[in-house]
Amino acid sequence: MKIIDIHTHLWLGSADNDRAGILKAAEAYGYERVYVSTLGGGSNPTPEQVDACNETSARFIADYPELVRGWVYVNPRHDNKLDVIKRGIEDRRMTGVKLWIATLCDDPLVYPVAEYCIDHKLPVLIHALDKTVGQGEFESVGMNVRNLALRYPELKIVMAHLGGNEYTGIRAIRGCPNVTVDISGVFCRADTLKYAIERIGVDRLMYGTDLSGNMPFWNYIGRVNELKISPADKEKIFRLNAINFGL
Amino acid sequence: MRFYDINTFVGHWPFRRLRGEGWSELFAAHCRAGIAGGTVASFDSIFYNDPTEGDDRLFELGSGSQYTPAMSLNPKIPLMLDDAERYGAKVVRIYPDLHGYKLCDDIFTPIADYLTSHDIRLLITARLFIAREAYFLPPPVFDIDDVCAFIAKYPNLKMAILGMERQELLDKKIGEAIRGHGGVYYDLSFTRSAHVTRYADNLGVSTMLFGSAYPLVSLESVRLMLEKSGLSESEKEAAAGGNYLRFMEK
Repeated sequence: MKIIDIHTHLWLGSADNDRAGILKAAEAYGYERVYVSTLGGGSNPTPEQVDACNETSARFIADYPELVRGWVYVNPRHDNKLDVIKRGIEDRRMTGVKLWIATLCDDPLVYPVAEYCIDHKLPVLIHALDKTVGQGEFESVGMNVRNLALRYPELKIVMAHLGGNEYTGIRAIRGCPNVTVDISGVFCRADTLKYAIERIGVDRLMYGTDLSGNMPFWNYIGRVNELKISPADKEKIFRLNAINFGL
Repeated sequence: MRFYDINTFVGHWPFRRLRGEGWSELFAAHCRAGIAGGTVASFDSIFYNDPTEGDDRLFELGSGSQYTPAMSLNPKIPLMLDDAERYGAKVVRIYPDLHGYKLCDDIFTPIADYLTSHDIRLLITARLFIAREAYFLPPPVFDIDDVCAFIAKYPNLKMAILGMERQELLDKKIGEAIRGHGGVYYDLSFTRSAHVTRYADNLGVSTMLFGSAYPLVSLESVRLMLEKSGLSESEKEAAAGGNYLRFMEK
């Protein structure tokens, strides 16, 4: 079965190795498309660091135009954030916007980004990770995603990582039909995908890994494969939901 | 590859709904994954005031099957070795963090002496959930210094450490302790790293066991981690099942 991985990363400083790992996974597991964003410069990168991140992604997209798509990485604290998005979409051939941990995603600093994305029909991939220990000061959780989704019901949102803790994350966005979730980046607890399917339906889950370089892409494939759902529903998670979402 | 699973459970996990927590679900999941048998403990026994209320049923249903029941033992509860005798336990599983003691505490010494003298296998549980997903219970603490001291103190006790995370599997001190002992095994149930070969380098490949922590963890993810690792085919075979058979052998 072909796979669309909607959530992978390159990192400044290890991009070559990260590219190699993603390409290897793409070949090994039959990736049809992979969506990448480049991170670096810590939680609150400078405008120059953000530009370097997006240029790194753009080169990967240019080198593998059939396989690789991109998310424009944006720091909502920057005055040039809308120019960054515009350049990413128009010049760097990217598809949507990536928000990480520079601000909470329901911070008013994000509103112009959200409004730009609605106006230009761009999806937003939002890092959301609810942790018992080690929560970042500006690390969004499901409730932050919910607040943004309710304020902007026309905004197409991907909440990453099932919200980190699926039991709080899924609960938060259950009533927000403009939010889809990806299954990436969290420890492979059993039954959490089943829980998510029961709460929000299989049509709102997308396959993602959050991975780069020499990392275990198969963990997430195993998670989907062992679900007791029909092959058609597995295909929805692996690729069709991403296509239907507009990726 | 013939798999044996050192790290499985039946019974009720109280902190979230698990859909595979019965015997029939365990059999079915293992069957689908090509796992021939293994060692099974009871969630109930971890949390009950009297663990034998769970283990009576575990031994009743598990004995004579392809699974070896692992008695859950809390050294703070009196006279549990009497129960080990009664069950004829071949494997004892402990949860030092959940039950609030250290392996080198005096309270555990008579237990360790008994297990050694009776050639009973000891399964040491490092964790059953990861810190950032803790719920009600505090984040787990795995005391490497305590475990290393315990390993050195009992050179003739065969044991397995189950559920170490990546940084613990790569820890030099625990690597030296395990390699220096020869009878200490480990599983990979609580890592999702691609660096299985690095674990083998640090801890040894002849003591690597297949353990899934079923039904807490995605069984297929753990199985694929071993299959896709950079180990040789013979090393994978050993980690899948050969090492387990040697661990259990008397």
